[in-house]
Amino acid sequence: MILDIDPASATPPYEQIREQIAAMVDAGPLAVGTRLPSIRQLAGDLGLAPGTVARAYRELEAGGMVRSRVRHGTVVAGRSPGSEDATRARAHEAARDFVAQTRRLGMSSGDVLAAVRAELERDRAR
Amino acid sequence: MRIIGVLTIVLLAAVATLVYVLVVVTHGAVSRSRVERFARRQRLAITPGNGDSVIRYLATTRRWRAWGLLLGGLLGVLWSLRDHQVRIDFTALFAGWFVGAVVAEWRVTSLASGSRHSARLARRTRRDYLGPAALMLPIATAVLCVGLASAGILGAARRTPHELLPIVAWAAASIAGLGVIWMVQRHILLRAQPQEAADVLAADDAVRARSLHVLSGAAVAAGGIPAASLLSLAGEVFTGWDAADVGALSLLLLFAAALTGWLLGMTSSPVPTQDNDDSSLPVGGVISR
Repeated sequence: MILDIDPASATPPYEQIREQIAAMVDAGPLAVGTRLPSIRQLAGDLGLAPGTVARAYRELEAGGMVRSRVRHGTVVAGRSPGSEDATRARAHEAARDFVAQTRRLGMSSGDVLAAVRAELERDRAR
Repeated sequence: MRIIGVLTIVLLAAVATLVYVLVVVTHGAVSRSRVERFARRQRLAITPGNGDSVIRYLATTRRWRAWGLLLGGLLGVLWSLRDHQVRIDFTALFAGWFVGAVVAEWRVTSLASGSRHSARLARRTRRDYLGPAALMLPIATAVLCVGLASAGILGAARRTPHELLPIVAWAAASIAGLGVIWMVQRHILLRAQPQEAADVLAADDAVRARSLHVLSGAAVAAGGIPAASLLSLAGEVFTGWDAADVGALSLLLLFAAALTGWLLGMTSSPVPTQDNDDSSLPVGGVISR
């Protein structure tokens, strides 16, 4: 997992850091509980002031994505609230398409639910 | 008086010769065998991309350790002149080497010199570079020193408070020394590591691992000096301890700490990275430019 800062970008460096870490948390590579580099380490590696990295971490903490504790460093806490809503919206859209397809096939609601349960069981058994 | 004058001249001549030899040694080229030994110990493939950086690291550490050794030896000899003697103090020699080694590791700069706008999102810790022995032995040394100091203070409190001073001084020295080691190790971990080519990063990690191991070994060896002294002092204040036995035990402790520290510093300390996979790279392989 690599952080890239574009010094020529109009986006301030702290926002670039925040965006990239948030994207990694939402996408999954940064699992909950992962310890992030210390502010000093990341600032030194990126050639930035510690205050810049500190601001990025503060904003991530304000968004609930990381948790900072003294002597324990900064730890990934969870996905951004928006990402859960987006996941739920995608699931509803998939369900809507599925229901529309089963209606075209003339299936009853009971048959549709039975088919879904059977697939869930098969998936659990794998 | 004449004898002292002659001795002083001989001493100055010896020191001048030593300084000359040291200057030649420390400013000379790093030998290929030394680079190969480093590569073998760290299981690092030396490439045209990282070779110069490794050589620079080896030259820096050699220079500072040699000067530290010389200065320590010189101060030990000068100190012995107070008693109208010329004596080589091995403790002073080691102390000088120790200070030189610590300064060397502090002064090593980052091997990577890229754009410094890319970095790995991975926290660097001692566990990433040190094995269990290198992690635990310095802590065990510190615990031993504190334990002996506590025993000595308890015993001294039963006699005269005057006997407390050397015990407290040695305890403070051991804590200060180990504190310095800890700080330098932290400095090494925080040293910048921007994203670079794989071979450069592998060399950077190898240098960090070597530095941290050397410092862990130095901490154990150096910790033996206050530990041995504290054992002597603790033995003196407790009744029933034979002075000769205490002396022998102190000497044994000093020797054991020195040997353990040396072994710790000399052991192979490869860093388990994807670029140091043994199946793909020759152990200690050196690619000539």
